[in-house]
Amino acid sequence: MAQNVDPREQLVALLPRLRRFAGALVRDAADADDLVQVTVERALARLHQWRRDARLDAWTLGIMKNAWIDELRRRRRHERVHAPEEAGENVCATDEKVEMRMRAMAIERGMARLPDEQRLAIALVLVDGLSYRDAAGVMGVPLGTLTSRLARGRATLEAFIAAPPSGEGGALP
Amino acid sequence: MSVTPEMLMAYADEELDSHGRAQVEQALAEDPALAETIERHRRLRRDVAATYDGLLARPVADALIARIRSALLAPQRVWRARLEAMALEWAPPWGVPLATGLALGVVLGLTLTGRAAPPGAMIVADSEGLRARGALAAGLTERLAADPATENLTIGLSFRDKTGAYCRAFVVRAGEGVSGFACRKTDAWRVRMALAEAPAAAVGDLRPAGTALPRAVLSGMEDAIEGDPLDAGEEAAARDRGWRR
Repeated sequence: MAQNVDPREQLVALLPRLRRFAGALVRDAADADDLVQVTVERALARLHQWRRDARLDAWTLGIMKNAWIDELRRRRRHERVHAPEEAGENVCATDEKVEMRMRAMAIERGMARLPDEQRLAIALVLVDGLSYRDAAGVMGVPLGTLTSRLARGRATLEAFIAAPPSGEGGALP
Repeated sequence: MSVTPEMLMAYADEELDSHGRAQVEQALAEDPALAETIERHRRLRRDVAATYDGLLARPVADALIARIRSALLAPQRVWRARLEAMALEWAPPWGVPLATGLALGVVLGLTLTGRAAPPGAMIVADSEGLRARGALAAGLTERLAADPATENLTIGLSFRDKTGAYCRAFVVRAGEGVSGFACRKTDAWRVRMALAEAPAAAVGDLRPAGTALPRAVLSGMEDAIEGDPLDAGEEAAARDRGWRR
């Protein structure tokens, strides 16, 4: 690992991954940008707590996870749980086949409906590509808990793609 | 032997150890239909990744990058706070008439032309760069940061630079004033930074807010410093060794 590189530069290099992870957690692009911003501020304020023998990526993703949970709690306190939007703002797939595009939109809609902890497991492993062990570390849960959340999240997502609730539009044209 | 659905998922994600892989592969041999489950997991993984990978290519706001790059790392924050606190203590004694600062006369003299520096010059340019002399050189050599400031010269914080040389911050209050820091090299104090600006002097009963070193000097010192600034004991020991490494 590049432990001698200025951690600020490591953080800059992580930004695209943070954006992607945020996009998997929250559907609205502006909300995702806000989440990245909050994460960066918290990371900078706590950079002295980061141990140089630890991985900065997992550490930062953990900060984003906490920031996201804080935001969810705040919204729920204010009873402003908003319904998933129809358009998939985060999908950048204009050139792709319609079928793939539809599937991507269904995945986005399905992700928005997953229970938080399942969405987090999917975002860490399937979107960011962390190993089970690293993802469990970020979530602060045992390996077995991570795998069961991941398995349940996948099953729910697949069921949603195959048969979206009425009014949501089909996965295939 | 049967395998759990979670093992099939972990197999698809290449998360199983060799023992687990062997178990799944044996089950696959007995029940080829399991391959469909594994393929379904892999397909979902590919599709979920593809759904969000487009975000990687989106440009990141320049302001955010600038924000990160300009952030002070914790050690810098700690010692800047220390330095600013110390700078406050450098304010000259109350009620010193401002005019006495002018008695120092010329601060900067040039000797490159071969002419002698004007008497009273505290920084001179020579063939190697800028050198402290006179009252400034004496202050850098003899005074400790804890010593009370005279009305026109303050010696502050000492630290080591990246070559291990001792460096010290100073403020000269004469004319426009000069703030900066100098590092000990062989037998001279080489002035590494000199800014024609001094923190405002105390006036009457009011200790002005601007008694900290100018920001540009703080930044210059932050770039030069290696490790932590010297504490009072280390500073006294360094002085007693004649500021030799």
